[in-house]
Amino acid sequence: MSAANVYRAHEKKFDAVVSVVLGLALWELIDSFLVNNPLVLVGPSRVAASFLSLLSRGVLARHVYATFTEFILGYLVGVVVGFGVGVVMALSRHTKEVLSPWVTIWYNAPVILLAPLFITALGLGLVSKMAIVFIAAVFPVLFNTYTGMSTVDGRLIEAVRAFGGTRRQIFFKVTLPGALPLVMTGLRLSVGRALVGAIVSEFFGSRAGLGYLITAASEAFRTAEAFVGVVLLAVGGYATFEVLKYAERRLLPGTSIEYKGFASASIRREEMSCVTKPCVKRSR
Amino acid sequence: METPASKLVVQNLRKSFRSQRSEGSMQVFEGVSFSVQPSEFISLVGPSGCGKTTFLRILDGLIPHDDGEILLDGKTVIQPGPDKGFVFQDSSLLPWRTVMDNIILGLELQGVDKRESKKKAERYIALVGLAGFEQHYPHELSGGMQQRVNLARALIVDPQVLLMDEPFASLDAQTREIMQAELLKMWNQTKKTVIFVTHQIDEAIFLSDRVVVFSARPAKIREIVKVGIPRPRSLTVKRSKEFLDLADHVWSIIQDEVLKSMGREREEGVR
Repeated sequence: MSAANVYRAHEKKFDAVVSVVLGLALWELIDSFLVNNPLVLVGPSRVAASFLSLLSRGVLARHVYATFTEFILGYLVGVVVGFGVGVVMALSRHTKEVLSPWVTIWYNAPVILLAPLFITALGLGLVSKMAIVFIAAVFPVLFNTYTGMSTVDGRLIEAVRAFGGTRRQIFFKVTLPGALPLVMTGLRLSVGRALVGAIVSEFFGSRAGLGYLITAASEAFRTAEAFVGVVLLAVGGYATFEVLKYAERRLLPGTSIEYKGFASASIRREEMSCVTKPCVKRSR
Repeated sequence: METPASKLVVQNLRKSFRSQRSEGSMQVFEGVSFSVQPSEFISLVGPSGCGKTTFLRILDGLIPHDDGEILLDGKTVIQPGPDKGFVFQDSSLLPWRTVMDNIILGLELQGVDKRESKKKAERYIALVGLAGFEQHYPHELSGGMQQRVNLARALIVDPQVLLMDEPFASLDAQTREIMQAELLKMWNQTKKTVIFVTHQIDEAIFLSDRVVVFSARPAKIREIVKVGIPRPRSLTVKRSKEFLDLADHVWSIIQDEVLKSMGREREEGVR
């Protein structure tokens, strides 16, 4: 294979890598020649040095562990509850009517600003952070599960009914798999919100965590350390996103081409007010 | 009284839908009766909107009717089930399932062992000409091939009657003709009783032993036209005089009904 062929085969990946490398180089150049003030900006090389130093002192492991625990526990509980309530709301009209004003209020409220109250009530430790992460993560999953289940193509349901499918079989063989692309979208949207929830609630009061590391370092003018925290969060968010994308590909064969005629995975946050407004089915 | 040998008997069927705008209800069928012999191929035609598709869904038990009776092999039809095979207008295949897994759906719903189902499916995959496409997903298939899957999915449950709702309506003219010829071949091999809804008069005549012509709403049977063209039929019979005369005849009934219903609508509009 010639070099041109190798390039063509990995064109997208190659371009992405070049983009990242150039971005890092530009950052380093701006730091060394334009700004050259370690209080305001630190280049990648100094961030890397600070990273290694924090790592060797064992400080980093403690902070990463604290944030990871808050994130993963709050997120998992949020996903389970969001999915469950979304399913119940899609199946029972009554439950939907009762819950939907509360869901809308909580989803649109700037819950993160309640973090100080949560910390006062639940303490500086894990539980208050978990609660914030939970509230941040639960609604995108809930909305997307509900929307996905209630917009499954009626023709598919009719087909299964025509062959004698029971209500239970319709649920497990049509409604649930039909809703999966949107459920997965909900899972992905929740990751970002949950991470922000964990970090910001650490800002308001904590003893450990990447948010704690960032505030403590900024206040002491150790900018490089603060950048280590930010970069680790970005990498963590990116990794979670990729894991979910991989899971999606495995769970949903053939989604790269959108399923014809049923709710596609393109419904985003701003379109998620379907619980209170009549929902328009969107498909690309 | 109908002869006991009839496969499917429809007696005095009535159906009305509650009207959305006014308090009243809209009569869809007004006493429809006919019977179908075993292995007979029957087409239902009529002016657009007369309720042919609704009628087929009532026969399957997907939609309840108000009055009258439907007997399949002497038993009253109350709900959908594997004694009837439904072929839908758009293939409505589950997009996340392969061709194979879509075809065995009916057996799976009955709880048939998966390995057994797949073995049985091979026969029907060959019958509808889909060999080699077992592991494809529906979106990878053309419209004509999706309808082949749709057909195999209905045939595999070994139904007593095959209900087909304009299965070739969304296909292009060429593919439609090919599918018509192939359907006749499959029908000849399986000897199923078929009720076929279509809005294409030539399709109805080409395929059927008898063509049931519905009136405009509220629908009654205007006429049952017997098609005497000998079988096996090839696509060339569509140009024969006998065929064209039949088509003219059916067309004139439908045209008459369309004009009548337009007149009625105008009257209602004035009111």
